[in-house]
Parts: sequence; C-alpha cells; structure tokens
Amino acid sequence: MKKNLLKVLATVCAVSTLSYASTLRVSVPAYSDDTKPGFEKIVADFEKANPSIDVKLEVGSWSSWQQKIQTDFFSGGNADLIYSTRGWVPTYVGGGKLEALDSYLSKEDLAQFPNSLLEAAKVNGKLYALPSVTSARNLYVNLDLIKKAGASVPTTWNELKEAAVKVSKKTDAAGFGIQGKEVEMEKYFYYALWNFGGSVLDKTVGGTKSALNSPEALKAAKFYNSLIKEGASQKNVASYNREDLQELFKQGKLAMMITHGVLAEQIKSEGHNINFVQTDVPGMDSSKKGTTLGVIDAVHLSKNSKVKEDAVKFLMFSNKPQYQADWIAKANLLPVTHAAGKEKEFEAKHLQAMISAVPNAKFAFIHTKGTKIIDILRNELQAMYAGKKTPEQAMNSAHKKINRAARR
Amino acid sequence: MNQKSLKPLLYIAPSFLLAFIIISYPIIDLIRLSLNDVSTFGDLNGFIGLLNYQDVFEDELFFEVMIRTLFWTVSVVVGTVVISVPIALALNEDFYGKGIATTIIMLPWAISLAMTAVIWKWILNPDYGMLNHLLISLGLIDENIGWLADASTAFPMQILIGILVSIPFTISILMGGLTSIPKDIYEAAYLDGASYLTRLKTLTLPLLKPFINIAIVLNVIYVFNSFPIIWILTEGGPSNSTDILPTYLYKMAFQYGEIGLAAAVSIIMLALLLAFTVIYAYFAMKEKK
Repeated sequence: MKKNLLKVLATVCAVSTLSYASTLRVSVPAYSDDTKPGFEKIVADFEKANPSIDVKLEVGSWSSWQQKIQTDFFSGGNADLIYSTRGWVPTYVGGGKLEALDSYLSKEDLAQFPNSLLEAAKVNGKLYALPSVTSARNLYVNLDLIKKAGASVPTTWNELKEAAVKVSKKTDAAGFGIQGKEVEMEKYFYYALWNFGGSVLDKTVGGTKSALNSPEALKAAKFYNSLIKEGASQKNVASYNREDLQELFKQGKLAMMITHGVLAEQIKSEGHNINFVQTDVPGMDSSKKGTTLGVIDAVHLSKNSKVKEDAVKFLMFSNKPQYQADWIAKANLLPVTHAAGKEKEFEAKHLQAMISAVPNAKFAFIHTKGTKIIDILRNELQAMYAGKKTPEQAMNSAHKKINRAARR
Repeated sequence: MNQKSLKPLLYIAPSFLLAFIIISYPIIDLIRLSLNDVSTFGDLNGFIGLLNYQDVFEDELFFEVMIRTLFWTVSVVVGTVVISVPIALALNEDFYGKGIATTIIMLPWAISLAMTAVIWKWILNPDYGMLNHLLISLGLIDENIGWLADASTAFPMQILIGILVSIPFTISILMGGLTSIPKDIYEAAYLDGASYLTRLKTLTLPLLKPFINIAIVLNVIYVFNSFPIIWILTEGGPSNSTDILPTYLYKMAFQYGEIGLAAAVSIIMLALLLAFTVIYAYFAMKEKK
C-alpha cells in the first residue's frame, strides 16, 4: 500500500514537473477589444506545442502602460516579455532592464522582418526591441467639403493651406485639424517639421542636441501658426486631442486631418455618411510624396528573466502570419513580418492606404529623456497655438529647455 | 509615574506601534529616495545629499505650481465652506422634502471623483459640451468657448468643480455639528426675544466653529493632495498652466522617471501640509483657551 502511494506521488510530481517546468510571463497592452482573445489563442496554441512551458498572460490598458512597466521594474515583478513602444526603449536600456535579442535570434528569424523596422528599433547598435506592430499615418480629406469650397485634394503643404482657408471661409467646417493636446500631440507637429526639413534632435537615435532652433523648424512652426491665425484650423486648438479631431471629422465639421487607419474603420463601423479619401501626407512639391510618421511598437525581453530561451521561442511563435492577421488587423494596425503582410486581412482598403504610406514614413526620435523632451515640445507648441508665444519664442524656448533636459 | 498611569499607555502601545510603522515607513523611504540619485526604476545610484531638493527649488515651474496649488486649495476650501454652511443650516431646519433635498446634495459623494471629472470633461467639450449648448441656447454667447483650452477659463472651472465635489463631505461634518447643539438653548433665546440672525450669530456659529475648523483642516489636506479633477480635465496643461503639485509630482515620477526629484517634492508637500495643520491647530486651540 505504502509502495503504491509513493509511486502515485512520484508520478504526480513527475507529471507536474513535466507539465510546468517553467513559467513565462507575458505583458501586453490592449490595442483593441480583440487583443486579449487574440493573445489567448496564441498562448493556448503555444502551450499545446510546448507543454513544458506555462504562459501567464496579462493584458492591460495602454493609458497607464508606461506607469505599469515602470512600477513593475521598480518592484522587480516585471514580466519576461513586455510589449511596449519603441520610444521607451532607451530609458529601459539605460536602466539596464532589457536583454539584447541579437544573440537569441538567428539570421532566418531576423530575415522575417523588414530591415528598416529592425534598424529603427535598435539602440546603441543592438536589438533590444523586436517590432510587434507598426503603422503609418495618412491625410484624411472630406471630399464633399473640399468640393463645396472649390478646392482640390492637396498634394503639397501650400495646397493644403489654400484648401484649408477656402473650406473655413466657404463652409461651416474647419479646414485643417491641428491636434493640441495629449497622446501624439507633438507628433502632429512632426508632419510639418519633417517636410519643411527640420527635426527635434540632431539625430533620430543617439541625438544629444536640440535642432529646433533651425530655420526649417521655425518655418514649420510659422506654418501651423499661420493656419490658426488665418482661421484655417479648428478654433481652440489646445482643446483637441486626437480623438476629438477624429470626432470632428466624422461629424463632417473638419475637412482635413492626419491620423491612422482607425478613423476609416470607425467611419464605416459607426455608420457616418462621410465621403472621404485616405491619401498621402503632402510634400513640398507635387512631384514627391510627403514624409509621414511611422510608428513601431515592440516586444522587449527582460534582463532579469529566468526563461529567456522560452521567451524568445514564444516571441517567434507569436509572429506567425495567422496570429498577426488575427489581432493586428483587428486593431487597424500593420504587421511586422513579410509573410504576415500577405494575409488577406491586411487587404482592407484603409490598411492598404497605410501600407502605401510606409515607404515615406519616418520614425520619431528616441532618447533616454524622451518623455521629458516631448513634454517640453508639447508645452511650447501649446503656448504658440494659444497665441501666448510667437513661433520664434516657442522654438527658441523649446530648444534651450530640450538641450538642458537632454544633458541631465 | 506610577503603575496605574503606565497601564493605559501599555494598552495602546501595540496599535500605536502599528500605526507608527505604517505611517513612518513610506515617509522614511521617501526621505531615503529624496537624498539619493535614483534611476527611473528605483535603483539607488548613491547618496547625493540635498541635491534633489536644490534641483527642485531651481526649477522655476516648481514655484509657479506651488503658488497655484495654494490658490487652488484656498479657493476650493473657502468656496466650499462658504457655500456649505448656509446649506447645512437650511438642511437642519424642518421642511417638506428635506429628505430629497439632503439626498440630492449628498449624491455627488457617491460618485467617484474620476467619474465626476470625466463627466465634466464632456460637459465642457467645445463642440458637443452641454455648457456651450446651454449658453448659446440662452443667447449668452455667440460661439463655442474652448473652456479647457486656456488656463483663464480652465482653472476657474476646475476650482468650481472642486467646490462642488467637496460640498457633500463638508455638509456632513457641519450637520453632525448642528445636531449636537442642544435645542433648549434656542428655545431660551427665542423666549428672550432673540431674532433668527441674533441666534445664528451668538449661538449657532460659535458652537459650530469647532466643526468648521475640522472641515477646513480636512478639506485643506484633501484638496491640496487632489489629483483627478486637474489630471482628467487638462493634465495640468495647456503649457503647465493648470498644473498643481500632485500633477507636477506625477509627471516627474511616472512620465519623466525622475524618482529622486519626485520624492523631494513629496517631502516638501508633506512639510507644507504639516506646517499648515500645526499652525492652524495652534491658533484654534489658543482661541479656545
């Protein structure tokens, strides 16, 4: 009897050790309601294929994601794999929290990704972040409003201004929407800044000095300022976040704005009767497409992870085309591997418009003090949009403050 | 000290010790962080003395924000007390529908502060907000106002909302005070021919004073540390023009990752509140003597 009991106990122990030899924690921010079910499917399939790995999945809100990761690292209770954004990578790397993925990934693994995405995700020449989703921005144009105002879909910034002024004067709607607060507010300025030839820092990665005192940056600031002054944008610019602008567009109260694919999907799913086109961001002359914003979100491997090999195994498993098609397309974002790009889910018109913008996309700067630098720029732009500072004052002040912050 | 007088102290010692540990641990930890060079992720990179405090005091924005926080606190607390006293006096009288009136006034207390702020954000929306719609319908304004686009309109609105959400709590304190005043002294005063105003001036308000003091001290602490209204409505913007110390502190800790500086700001806030409470308690007790 005793012998049998011992045998049973030994078998139970062996089976349990076999079943859950290691636990892998994965943290994912919710891009849409479909993110959680999408990842639950990946986890279930992965565990089936790898019975010795138990995956603990946690899906949280984007709005407090930065704070969550910071406090998780603070307490040492961070996950092994963390889905986050490329912009925070230098801070995590500076804090010694991430493991470089270069030695864990084979050439074949890396060949699945477009080189431009991998290069943009690198810090100090190392790959601390493997791209998880990407997107590019388009100019949305309300064709009825443009027609009513006697204008045409703009391909250059001068044409955009001309059309915006006409719409504002001849219709009840605003011409060109300018985002004045919250998430990506500063990025809305980049469209003008980059196309006029300016930049925030001297380098996109590894920059140390502000470049906002350049004549190009001033031109861009003056351009947005002139749109506001001439009544070609919506009033009270500092009141509008991205969603507020999108709401104006959906209601037919705004003729043009720049944003991601979600707006097109919302117009369709919410049943708005808007005759619109999703086109390229204007350039400086009509012969060349304008530079738009590209965004990369990425997965990081924690330095303190005890299951790094398992984590990388999960990472590559989760990048299978059918999984990307499942949760990324539903979030109206773009995939990160060549193979996933061929999935039929990404053939939707609004996603194709984003895909066509990718070759002209530029990625925002990354810096260990990135959040502080962005906040400085946002504050100065808000002061300019509200008419409290001239473009010269705003750019000079941002330049000085950013140089101070970048040095700290 | 004899054995008898020691006994009560011994009885309260465990709870006192527990309270002391719970209160003192975070304070001691904050002081430790504020005296060290701390990474974004809480790693201590060495003792730096008062350098974090020096950096905070060298930041022009800190003084701007501190003055705004004092203005915010004084405005909300004074506004709350001034509005709450007459409402509490009215609710203390017997009238038809008193129960409903009390429920309506106390109801906002049941809603979380964050939810209230979100609702107000919708109300103040320049395009779809109820406030602009109402003012245009009444013919008071011709075009939509961007209430939260500029500090000159955003901050007064935030103060107003601060007052509205503080009223129920203040009234509950004052109502407690009013019910504790014996009815017979009013009857005696009434028989002596004292008018309502005389009774209010000579009986009600002096007897209500300790409760007003409690309401002031507690409200100052709550309002000074209040975060959701400002954060949800404007995140301290535009251009930091509605930032108060809690939002400034939050940005420092969780957006910029300056944990050492944030710890120093926390200690400064604690010192400010402690100083206010001690000074206020000193004058209140002196007056009582």
